[in-house]
Amino acid sequence: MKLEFHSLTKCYGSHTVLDGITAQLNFPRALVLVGPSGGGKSTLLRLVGGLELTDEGTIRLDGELVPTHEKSLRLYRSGIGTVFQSWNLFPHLSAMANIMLPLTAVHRVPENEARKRALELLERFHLADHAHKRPAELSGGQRQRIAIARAVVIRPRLLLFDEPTSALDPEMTAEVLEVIADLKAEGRAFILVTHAMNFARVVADEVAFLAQGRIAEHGSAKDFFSTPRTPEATRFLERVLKY
Amino acid sequence: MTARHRTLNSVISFILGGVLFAGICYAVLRLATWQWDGVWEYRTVFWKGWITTIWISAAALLLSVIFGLTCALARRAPYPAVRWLAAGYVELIRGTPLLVQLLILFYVVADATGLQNRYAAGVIILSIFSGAYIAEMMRGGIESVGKSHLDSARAIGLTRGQTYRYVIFPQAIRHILPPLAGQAASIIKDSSLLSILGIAEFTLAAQQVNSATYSTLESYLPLAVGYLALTLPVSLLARKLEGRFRYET
Ligand SMILES: Nc1ncnc2c1ncn2[C@@H]1O[C@H](COP(=O)(O)OP(=O)(O)OP(=O)(O)O)[C@@H](O)[C@H]1O
Ligand SMILES: [Mg+2]
Repeated sequence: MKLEFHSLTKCYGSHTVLDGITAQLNFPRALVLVGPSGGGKSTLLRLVGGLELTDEGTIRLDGELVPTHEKSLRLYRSGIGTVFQSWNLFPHLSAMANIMLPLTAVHRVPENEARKRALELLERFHLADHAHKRPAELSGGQRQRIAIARAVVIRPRLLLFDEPTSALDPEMTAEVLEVIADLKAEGRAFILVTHAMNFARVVADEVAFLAQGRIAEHGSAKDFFSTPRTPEATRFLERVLKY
Repeated sequence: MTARHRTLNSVISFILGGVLFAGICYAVLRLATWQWDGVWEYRTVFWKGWITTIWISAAALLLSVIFGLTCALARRAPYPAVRWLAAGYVELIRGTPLLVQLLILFYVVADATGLQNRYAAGVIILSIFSGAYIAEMMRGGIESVGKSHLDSARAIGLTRGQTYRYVIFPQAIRHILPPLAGQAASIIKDSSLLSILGIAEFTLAAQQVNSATYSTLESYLPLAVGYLALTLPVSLLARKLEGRFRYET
């Protein structure tokens, strides 16, 4: 995958969150975004996902411009799988119905075909027994895995994960990270925002370090974690790897 | 609620019930001069009026749900003018008494637009009135759906219409149904005001019986009982819905 930013700027009111980012990121499968809180990681991810509009600049995904009009944007979004930190699932629908909804409503997949594909994923994620349950009846880890299944079931060109484990306890975190590692092994491309540095180190092909609305540096996971080039990244890694 | 509170509550209810019952017994014994025969002659008038009240209320409920839904959606429309119009309608209607609306809308609007059928006019005006309240219930229900769910819906690629259909309405309905059942009871009671338009519903029927028989209480007590027979089941339904939806997540 190739992700290009050209003078990408995003403001909320007078607050500039992304400050003219220009960068080209190449990653076979896994791009991991790290950086201090408030640095703009979620915002960047939402822009790539077509959930927010840029104020200035452009984003290209594999050379193709991310659209800026609602109608084409909706089409674009429907080809991308997004998993947020929490509250992904619709509370009134069962796990199964949650996974099937994008298929039947957006991608016009027939009901029985959609059910089959949803069930395959549920089995793969060891969740088949929970297919009929509503989100309130599931653990946080199960919920996130179902959210991932819903994002994957449409066979997206790119998956976006925004801190999918930060609301989970260590054991559930492990369950979810396992699924993500599994998706990588399968050949799925994704961008992951995470504070789980050890996992980032293992899973990332490319790492981008985002601080104060800019990509301060990016490079292979090996280089970034062993020899960060900027003082900001060095300090950041020292801080988060300390404990 | 503690067990002690509950006991206290039932004791109070028991006493109040007893007082009420005694009052009714007193009235029955005291008014030894009941004259039911005259009123009994007019039972078909009561019956027809009661039936009319039922279908007028049913029609008004249906129509006001449509008005309310339209208005609630209009308040979320992308065009400011549409939003203001909808907000204006709600404030105007909720800020004035139904009686005033009946007088103005019927004698001015219905006349001017040549709406000759007073029943249709009555139902429409009642629906305009009730629709404003229902619009607010629906707005509350729609706004109760968390922003994160709308975000998820967008991320999946649902259209605006699909988001309403698959995400907003199914969640909003549990917030809307209980007060809507309550509103149905209000419509039944409010429909009595249509008697001033000469619509032969339950209240007008009772008034006619009264003027024919000169037995006021005998004419109006059945009226109260007849309304209660309609509103009590509806209120019970509302109560039940409230309980059901409160505990379900
Ligand atoms: N919808 C919004 N309205 C106003 N300000 C916002 C909005 N979203 C984000 N911001 C601001 O933008 C800045 C960057 O936010 P963002 O969520 O992108 O950071 P982040 O790197 O994801 O942080 P974290 O690691 O805490 O999730 C923050 O200062 C935040 O307050
Ligand atoms: Mg974030």
